[in-house]
Amino acid sequence: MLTLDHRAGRFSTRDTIGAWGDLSNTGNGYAYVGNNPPTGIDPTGRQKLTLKTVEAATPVDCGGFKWVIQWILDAKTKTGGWINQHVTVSFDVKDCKDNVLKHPADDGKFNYAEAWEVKKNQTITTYAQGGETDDDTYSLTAAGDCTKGKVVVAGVADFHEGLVALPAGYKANNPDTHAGMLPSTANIVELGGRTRHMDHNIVATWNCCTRNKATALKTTP
Amino acid sequence: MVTRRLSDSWSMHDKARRLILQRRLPLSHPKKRVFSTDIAARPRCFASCGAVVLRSFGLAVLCFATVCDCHDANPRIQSAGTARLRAIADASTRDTDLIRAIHSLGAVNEPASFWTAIIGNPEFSSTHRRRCLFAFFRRHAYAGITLNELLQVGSVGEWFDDDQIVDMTHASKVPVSRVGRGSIYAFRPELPSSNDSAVYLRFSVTISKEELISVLCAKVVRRPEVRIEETGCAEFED
Repeated sequence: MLTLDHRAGRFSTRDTIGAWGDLSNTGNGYAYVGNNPPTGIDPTGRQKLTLKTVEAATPVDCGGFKWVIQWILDAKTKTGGWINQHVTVSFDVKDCKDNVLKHPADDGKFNYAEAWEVKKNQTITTYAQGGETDDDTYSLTAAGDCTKGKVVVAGVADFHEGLVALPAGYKANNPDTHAGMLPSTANIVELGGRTRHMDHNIVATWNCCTRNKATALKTTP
Repeated sequence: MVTRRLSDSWSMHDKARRLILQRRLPLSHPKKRVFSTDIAARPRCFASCGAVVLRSFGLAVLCFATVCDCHDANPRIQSAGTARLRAIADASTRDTDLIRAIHSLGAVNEPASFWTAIIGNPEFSSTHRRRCLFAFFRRHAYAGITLNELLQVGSVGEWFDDDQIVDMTHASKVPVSRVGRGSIYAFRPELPSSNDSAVYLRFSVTISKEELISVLCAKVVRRPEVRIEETGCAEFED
């Protein structure tokens, strides 16, 4: 059992997940949710958010891609909560003469937070409980022929155990985000009860200015 | 950074019970309608008549009778359908009865204007109008129809606004599949007191929002062959 020294803001016994399980506390098995107790709790010290690849990252010509994942908790949550992911996308697109172009999908809305609910005593989201496997899909259309460049999608996900309700402003089918039917908001706010960060990133680089068109993908994890 | 207190927030538990109704189009049957068995049965009825028409004029008369049979064979079912439509068109119908009536309608015999008239009528509750809006899309803007056919559906009315159509092609989660590279749009009705429900349309090819709006509002179709491949609903209860 872990015990928390409130004055020190850290556990007095070692976190059972190990020193390298939490990227925000790398190497420090005694740290407590990023040494930020006012905004974070880690009731068991064992809860960890991971992702399972449902469809491997697949390139589409000239910078497009698709990657489908499902969120999984290592242990059943005793209280339930919400997985919250902050998504940002950066575009770097040029024509073959190095003139900067605007990506056809770049509408300025790729900076938002989206959320999935996990019910009490579950390790998967409410969608997965209903039989769906596609919790989250990264999908981008091609930038077009005679272009080259790089697109970076950065997703930072946390599980907020014990969070019973999302803040006002999160709404499904939000026209200000690209979250689709997920509750989402373009106004990023700090949520309490965070456990551990899960990086969910994909980088696409392509060059369609040569005879051998190619798109390379790199994902994290 | 602004931090909201939990007491200020709304609860998904309290506010809504999510219903996700998916209507997926089988790849091997690109024009198959999958909304009800009755709809699937209707083309079979007419197809058998059409085969007879090709043989001779005399048999064509028989075919006409057969077509009439197709409509009159089961008057009990017909009258039941009419009763359901009457219940739907009654603003005082309870929500549970409305849901039951909509889901047991069967074959599409009513015009699209039946639904749009209700959706545009403020005398109906927002919930009643929203349910009719979803029924309108399920029954008249269904998977398999082309933009040209969508054009014939009729005026969508004053409740429709350009801002309610949102490009969801790159969205994290949608209630339709992502087969091919066609565009995905969400239609978010902003009826009075409406919630976050939306209808999703997946098209056979990439289509701009302007092109879609021109079909729905201006009644101009540049590419009549473009199809709605799939519709899906993310419906929330009030």
